[in-house]
Amino acid sequence: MYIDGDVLVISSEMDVSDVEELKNFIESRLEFIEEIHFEEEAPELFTSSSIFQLLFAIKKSKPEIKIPVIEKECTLFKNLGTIQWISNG
Amino acid sequence: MDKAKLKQIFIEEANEIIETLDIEIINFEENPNDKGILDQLFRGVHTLKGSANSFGFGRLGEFVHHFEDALDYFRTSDDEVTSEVIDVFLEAVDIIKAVLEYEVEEYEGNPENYERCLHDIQKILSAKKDGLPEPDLSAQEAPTGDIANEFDENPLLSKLENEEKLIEITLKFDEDIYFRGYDHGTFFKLISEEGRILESTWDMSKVPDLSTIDIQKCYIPKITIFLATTKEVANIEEIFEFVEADEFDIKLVETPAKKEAPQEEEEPLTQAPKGKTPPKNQKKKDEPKSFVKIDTTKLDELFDSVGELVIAQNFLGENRKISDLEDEGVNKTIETLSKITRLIQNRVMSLRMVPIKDTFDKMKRVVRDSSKKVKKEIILDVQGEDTEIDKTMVDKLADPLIHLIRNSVDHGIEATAEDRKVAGKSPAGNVSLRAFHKGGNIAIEVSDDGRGINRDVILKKAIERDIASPTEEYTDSQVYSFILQAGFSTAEKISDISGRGVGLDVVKNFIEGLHGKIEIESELGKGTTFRILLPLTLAIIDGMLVRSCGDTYIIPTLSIVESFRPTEDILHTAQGKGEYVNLRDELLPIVRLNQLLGLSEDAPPITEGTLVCVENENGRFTIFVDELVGRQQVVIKSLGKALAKLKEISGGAVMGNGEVALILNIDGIF
Repeated sequence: MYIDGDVLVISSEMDVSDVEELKNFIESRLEFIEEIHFEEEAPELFTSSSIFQLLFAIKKSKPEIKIPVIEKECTLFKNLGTIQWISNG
Repeated sequence: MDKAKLKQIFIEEANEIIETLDIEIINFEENPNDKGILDQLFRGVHTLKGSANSFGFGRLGEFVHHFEDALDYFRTSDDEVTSEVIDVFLEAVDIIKAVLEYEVEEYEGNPENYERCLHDIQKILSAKKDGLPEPDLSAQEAPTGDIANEFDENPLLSKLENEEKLIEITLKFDEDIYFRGYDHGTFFKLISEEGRILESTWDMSKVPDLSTIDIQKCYIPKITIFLATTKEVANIEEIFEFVEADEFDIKLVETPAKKEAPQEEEEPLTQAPKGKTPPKNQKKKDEPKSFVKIDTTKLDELFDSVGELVIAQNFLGENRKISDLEDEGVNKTIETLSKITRLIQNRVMSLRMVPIKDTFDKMKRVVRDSSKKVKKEIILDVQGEDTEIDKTMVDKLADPLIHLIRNSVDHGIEATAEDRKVAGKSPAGNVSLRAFHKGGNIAIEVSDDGRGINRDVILKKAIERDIASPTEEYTDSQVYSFILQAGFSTAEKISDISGRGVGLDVVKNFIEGLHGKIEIESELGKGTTFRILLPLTLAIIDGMLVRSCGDTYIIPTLSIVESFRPTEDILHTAQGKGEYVNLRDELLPIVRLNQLLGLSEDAPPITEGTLVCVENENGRFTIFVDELVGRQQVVIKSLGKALAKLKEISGGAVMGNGEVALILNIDGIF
């Protein structure tokens, strides 16, 4: 995970405790982050679904933030076909 | 069965039919080409007529008979059902409700407007045609929806290669899945080793915002995966051998050729639209559900008993003597018991949950009636009507919502279409009604794109009425909350539907009675949103357990903004006004819980404890506690009469260790 300007680049291989740390990291810096994406170009899989929960929670708290992976159907992951998201907002 | 019981059944069924009539009429007005809605209305009214006559309810029978004639005319003719006809139909429903009450209560005479409305119905009919044919119910009793033999194919079937089959896997993991050491990621990996994952659909609608999310908790109630594989269903099932049976579902998506041929002609197979309806709809059609009516008090009793079971189970789980045994068998049994108990609790809980749709549907009539009364064109947008809410709350929500909607139509939306044009808006006003989950609660919003609330006018009136002080600074939300005070109305003209100053305070009281709260957001010239936040159920609240002087207390998370440990440099004392904390340039009062409740003075220094920032209608303040224990859903128990008088306490809950924790009433503290 690293920050490139106002873009936060994260890994798809984070487990729940990594995601917990990431949440704590982001909470105090959310206002400075404009975009979040995965560092891997076409990851095969993800380690923990908690990363997606976190991304949706971030989007809910800051709707203007760009998180391409959850903003429309996701075809990023090599072994997962198409992911459709159902959300309220 | 005796006649009195039969009569009671009739009354219940009649009320159910009547409840849907005006909803269907409004639906028909919105979809005038859908004659199926008129057919449905006609069938309901026909049933009502027959039952009314068999119970000797002649006045009801006669009125409904004429209404039925009118419906029959329009469903069998191509004549347009004008807005005026809809008005008469809606009034007819009101009369039917009133006549039923007259019949049940055995009042003499007819309700007000009975004759006039009957006359209006007859007038419509005589104007349309002479000599009506007898209503032909039998022609309608054939279930029209089943005539078209729909057969929708899953579009993913076309992506299968060679010997592959399409398997649908549904993951319905409990919220403690991460805690138990599992993760969707693990299962996706194992599934992907069995074939090709073509698609998955993730329900992320329950994910809260960043401030409330608990990463250790799973907020994804359902993921549906479509797997193309040459393996059998049984092979895929092996992946899930360590999770509970109700946490997954695996089935083969059958290709059309494998499905049993429809009994009627096969031609519709080629004519049916493809790829529109997912296969689960097909399943719904094939497996009709059956229902049992249950008295809600019985459900409440069952829920109470399950609450006791949860407490007893927690007591067992936290029993030192048992845990000291270090017996794997005993531990495993307690773990299983815990899981089953939680499963029962969730299932019993779900029995009380109903979609808010019925209540929202009723609001369509409210918007129609109130917009006509104030002569404004209003478009109602409804969203999230499938959101489920406690049945007890649904029943109590209708009145507050009616008032908020009327308020939006009457005061929110500009007086005339010209005023809206001047403001650069469309001539028709927009009112929206939205329900959604927010941080473990249900949020219901009534929004309008009208003129917004004039902060200065509200503040001036509040000062005039001694509700606000002219010297104090107020935030926008504090100013807007003044309009929820009893007797507060800024409407220049009292209208027939609102503006009497006796409404919004009632709404507020209603919502607070349901352990909820109201938030108001407004932008002058842009519109206003009233947001009702309610707990998922009246029986359980999501609470933050805190400790003060050795005792545990519960703060409803709905009221919590954040919590933090203060440092010396942000703590201040104002002479005669108590302690304050400077939280990001906002001075917030500090309420020490031990002092508030008259507990021991033996609290830690403030820099070693925790400040919980909470919010009520008076604004934000902080509560000083020794420590945070954790977040937990607790079953609310009412307190005895003596404790019920304490304004700082709203109830109690029994913790897993048998200890009773009091629930703080944030509105009564500061």
